[in-house]
Amino acid sequence: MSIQVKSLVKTFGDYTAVDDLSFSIEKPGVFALLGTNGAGKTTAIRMLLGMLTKNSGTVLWDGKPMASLTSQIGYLAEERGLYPKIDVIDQLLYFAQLKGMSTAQAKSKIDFWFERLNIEEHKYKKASQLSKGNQQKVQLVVALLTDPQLLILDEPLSGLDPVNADQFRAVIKEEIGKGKYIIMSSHQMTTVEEFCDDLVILDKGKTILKGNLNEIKKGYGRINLSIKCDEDITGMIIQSGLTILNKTPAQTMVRVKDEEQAKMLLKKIIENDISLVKYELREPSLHEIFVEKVGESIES
Amino acid sequence: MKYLLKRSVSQLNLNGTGKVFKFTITQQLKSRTFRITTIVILVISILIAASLNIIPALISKDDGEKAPTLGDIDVKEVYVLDESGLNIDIVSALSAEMPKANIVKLEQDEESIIDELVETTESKILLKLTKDESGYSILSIKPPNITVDKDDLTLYYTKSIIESGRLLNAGVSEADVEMLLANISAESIEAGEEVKSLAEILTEIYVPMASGIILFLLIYLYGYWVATSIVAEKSSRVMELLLTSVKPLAVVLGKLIAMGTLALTQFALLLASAGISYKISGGFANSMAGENYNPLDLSTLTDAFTPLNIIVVLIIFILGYILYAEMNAIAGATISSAEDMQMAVMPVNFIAIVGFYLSYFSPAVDNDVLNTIVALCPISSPFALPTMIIMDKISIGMALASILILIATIVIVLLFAARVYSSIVLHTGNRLRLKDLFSIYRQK
Repeated sequence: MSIQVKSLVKTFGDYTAVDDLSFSIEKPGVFALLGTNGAGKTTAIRMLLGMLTKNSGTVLWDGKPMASLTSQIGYLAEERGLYPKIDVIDQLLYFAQLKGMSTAQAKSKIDFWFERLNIEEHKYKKASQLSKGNQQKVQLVVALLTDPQLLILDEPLSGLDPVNADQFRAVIKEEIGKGKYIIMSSHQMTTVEEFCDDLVILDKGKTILKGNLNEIKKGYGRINLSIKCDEDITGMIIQSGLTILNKTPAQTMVRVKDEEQAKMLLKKIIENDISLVKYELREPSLHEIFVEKVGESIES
Repeated sequence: MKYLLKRSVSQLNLNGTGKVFKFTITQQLKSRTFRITTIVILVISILIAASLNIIPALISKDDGEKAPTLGDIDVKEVYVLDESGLNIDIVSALSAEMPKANIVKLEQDEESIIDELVETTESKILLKLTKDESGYSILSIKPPNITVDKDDLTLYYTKSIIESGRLLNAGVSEADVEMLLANISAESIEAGEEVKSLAEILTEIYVPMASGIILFLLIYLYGYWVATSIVAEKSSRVMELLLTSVKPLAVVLGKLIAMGTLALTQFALLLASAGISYKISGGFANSMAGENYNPLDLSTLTDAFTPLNIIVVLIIFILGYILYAEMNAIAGATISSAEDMQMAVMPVNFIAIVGFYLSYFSPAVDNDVLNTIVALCPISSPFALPTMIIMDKISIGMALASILILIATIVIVLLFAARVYSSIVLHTGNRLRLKDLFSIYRQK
């Protein structure tokens, strides 16, 4: 299975919400669609799902237009939606039937997922009687009901408490384990980093970075140095011509040009007989890459 | 037009319409608002239909009830003091009519009788006839402490005895006296105006008006519910979830057909309950008023309910509903919160109210030009046409033209909706105005 998105464009009047978006997903796992607020992520997702007509471009799933296969896609929208005054079971059956499931199949799946997410007692309640977290679980059940090959999760963990967030993470991992394809959009970079293989970062509709996350990180190299000593070494860092990115009581984050610069700093610390508590040279995190890339885009 | 049709039809993927239809019907039947509205409409139709029998029965009963006569009243003694000088035998006439009473002719000394009446607890009356400069007068004097002859029958009967007695004394025959004293009813009308019976007034004016109101309420109410349902799905963000499985037009069409089916069912229930109520109340009215029952002649109306007319009326009802529901669906999709609902549907409400008033007043005005406009204009024809057909106030050609105009309008609105709906149904934020819709229409 493969998903090919080519030259996707969407304009609203004079405003270009998505500008020439292209990417492909060739293997199971999580593909991250990232961007600031208003970057065009939700518009792009709506075009993938065929909800919005595109100005140009193609979205193919195994060579067929994806919009014609939306019943095989599980979707968790950013803005959660349930009928507030209708019994949860009734609306789940309705959504399942719209996806082409029989009532018996749907009931069996609903039972499974309600038990898996510990919400069995809420099945016959009105949606408005459920907590936000439980409403979100019901929404996740809707996305998973048909056991879809492709899941699109727009901000799946936003607004969840740590316990429910862990439960969602566990389900996402299970789906990855089953060989599912997942397109995930989120502002929580640590969550995305935890799951994602490939990504696209959008800013004002334009693609500012795309590719495999590990390769992107390798491309940056190990240029982030976290260091903590018993004495203040700020002067030593500045004298070495290095940039301090962030300084907290726990550590000082320094940007180095290469590993050689980091080694030079380490040598100076040892020569000055300063007690070293922490020394970690690593690739930049997704959060750091995101902030840097979006920052560059704003500056340009 | 051909290009527009091609572009719009290409967007008509209607898979899932049936499921939306089924879900909408089920949920609407469960809603309290729908149940209450149905009960209220049925009760009103039952009462109106029953009143067509009960009111004439009550009138007939009142007319047929035997008026009390002198023989029925409980008077022990009637004293007659005749100082009129007329040669009329009042005592004999009263005696003939009041066999249980003792009629006593006084010659003089009424004071002692008056004193007796002041003190007595028995039912006695003194009738005093006098002559003065202006003519004759009759005075009825009764005891102060008890009720005797509360309707003054003795007084009025004595007056009629004198009136007829004077004519008889003047040499008029008894037959002529009866003719001369017969009741005369009086009424004032304008030149050219016809005096109409209650049944004619009902069938020609009030039934069309009532039909207009009922059709307006059903068409308006169900169209409004389509808009409400769409707004509810937009504001609760369910719409985005639905659109992963079905196209926007399938959602709106499913709702539209579901609400239309319910409207039609409610309309049929209304007609059936009115018919049954009319039938049952007819028997009840008959037993209530007995042989005096004079039912309204509604044959003009009932004869018009031929199978063909009923089918045509139902078609017009469906078309009217579709037109207004389409407009309401577009209005509902232009907003994303229930608070904006009134503002969004205001233009549709305005159109509906203009159409309703045109249809409401045209039967009363009965002007040919106005009737033609009302029949052909698609905003008023759904409310007016059914009654015009039932009352045989429209030619077949005109009715056909009206239906064709209505269908053409529906198609135009549908083509417009098909082009803009998929864009506006996911719109959030400020309410979209008509110019925004046209802008989206042109862009697409």
